[in-house]
Amino acid sequence: MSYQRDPSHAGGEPSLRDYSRRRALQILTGFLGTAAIPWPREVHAEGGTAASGLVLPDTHWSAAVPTGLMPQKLPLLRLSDRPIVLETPRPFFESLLTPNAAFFVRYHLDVIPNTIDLSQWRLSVGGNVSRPLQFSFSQLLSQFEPVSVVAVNQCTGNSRSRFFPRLPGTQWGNGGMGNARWTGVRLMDLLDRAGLRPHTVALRFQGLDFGRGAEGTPSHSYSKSLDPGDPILQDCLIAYQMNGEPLPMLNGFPVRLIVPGRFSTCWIKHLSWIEALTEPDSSHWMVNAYRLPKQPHHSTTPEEVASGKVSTIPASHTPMPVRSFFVLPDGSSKLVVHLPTEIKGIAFSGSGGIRQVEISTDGGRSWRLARLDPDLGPYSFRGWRLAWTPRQPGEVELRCRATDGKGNVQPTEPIWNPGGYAWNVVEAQTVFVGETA
Amino acid sequence: MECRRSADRFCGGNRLSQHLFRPIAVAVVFLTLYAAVDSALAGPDGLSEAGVYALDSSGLILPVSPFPGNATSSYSVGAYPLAPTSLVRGSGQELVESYCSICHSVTLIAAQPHFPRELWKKEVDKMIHLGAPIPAEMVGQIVDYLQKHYGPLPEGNSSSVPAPKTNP
Repeated sequence: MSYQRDPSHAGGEPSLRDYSRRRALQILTGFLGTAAIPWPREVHAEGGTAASGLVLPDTHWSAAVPTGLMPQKLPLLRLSDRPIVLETPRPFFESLLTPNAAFFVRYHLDVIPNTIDLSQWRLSVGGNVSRPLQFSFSQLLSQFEPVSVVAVNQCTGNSRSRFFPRLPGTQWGNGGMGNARWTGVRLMDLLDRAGLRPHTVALRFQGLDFGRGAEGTPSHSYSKSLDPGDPILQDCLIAYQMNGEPLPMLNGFPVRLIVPGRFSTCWIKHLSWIEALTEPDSSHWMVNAYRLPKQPHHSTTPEEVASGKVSTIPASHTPMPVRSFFVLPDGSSKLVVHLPTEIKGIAFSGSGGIRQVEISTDGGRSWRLARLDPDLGPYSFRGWRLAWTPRQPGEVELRCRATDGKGNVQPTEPIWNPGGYAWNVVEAQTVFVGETA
Repeated sequence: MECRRSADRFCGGNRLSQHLFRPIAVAVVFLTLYAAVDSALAGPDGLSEAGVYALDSSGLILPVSPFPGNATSSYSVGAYPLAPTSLVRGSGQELVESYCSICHSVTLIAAQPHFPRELWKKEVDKMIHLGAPIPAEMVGQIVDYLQKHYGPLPEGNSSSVPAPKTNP
């Protein structure tokens, strides 16, 4: 591939420093005059396009992206205003359950519901079923046992900005994810009432959001399918509550499909149609988009892709790989030598929860086990922490590495695939330790 | 089973938005795009309004969500604020603005890494596959524009344009 690579990438640990400086400048210059953005002195000299002396504490959390306000939301990192794509800023991950008002948003198409009349709204179950059914919102509340699950919702492309060579698409930092307690009805309770008939090969889910493309084109509608034999269906919910509240409109009001342990590509928002198909779902969103290489860590190379030898699977059909993140310290201020501190973070996996998290305070030479916080369930963020007293001043590279319930460990080497999907490489956090004398 | 509803009734606002997508400097401009149908005419799917955006160069429209003020079965969040930023001026700019902004804000273009020509071409082809009504004879001009203004930065700026390397 001929396009740009990061010069500091050779050491094995990816860095976005150069890209982020450039991007910070683009964004800052683009928004000059529209907001009172602090303007670091180093930035001035460079005239807006060249690299600058602007140093960001951590480039993996889209620290340079401007925030924007959207209905029912706190200021979030606005990656796109139409269709709406919002990233959750890093500090919100100090809470194990991500607040609804800070929960990330990702739409593919821009005709997003503004107003929904619940007296008219119905959830349909149809296609190859014995009894096609329609449920009103009040029927979902009154006729089914409410069930809750704490589950991570993570965009398949979360952390796409880390891939080299760089890839087109939403340039997510690490904040294309969130963890919530979802409450609703079991998908299987609805399907059992409708009665799936033999020869059903796919269950297709579609919501109220649409696009402006012509009917029949992928830009007109977004839908995703699950395999009717997929064991995850037993854990799927149709959620009408998120952290004990109605879903924000931008997170799928009135109900959303919850597929615990899977990427959010199949967590259909504003879910309104469930259809049992007798033919495979051949839509763009299943066949072309959201495909992962069927290889270790879903990783391949541009050369392998060009050779046409890479076979792929739908991202919605496989568990999310194990990840872990530093929440604190975040590198934005110095630590003090000999002053005890606590390293805190989160971890999750789609395969059996988190077994252990290891921390290195010496750039990966030695590792110590972090203490795990109470378990909110196998699909939730798992909090972890480690007491640490920096012994000498200087620059320290922290790393965290999680192992999931099935024994999968995060890779150390960068991965690559053409969609920029399923990044789960070991995270690093640089911190500076200051002297006291 | 009626699983695919026509979005035609929501498309009225888009033609308007193309003309309004120019950068608007400092002042907050508030203009609702009439992409909505009347709430009283909710479809059988319960969708009363969708795709309603408001132009807002500051991103500071307040309140972004109106106080409900009633207890009906209708749940509304008001218009979604748009914060357009301008594309680089140049030949082909209007073409890119008019075709690309049918489906998405052109801010997405500037948010991408500096891709070489072949990757921009692939992106334009992908958009056509998704349904973008870009005539074949316009593709070259659009890709030219994207390469010139959003392609690799000029040589000599070594800190910004690292030499290509093989995958480690």
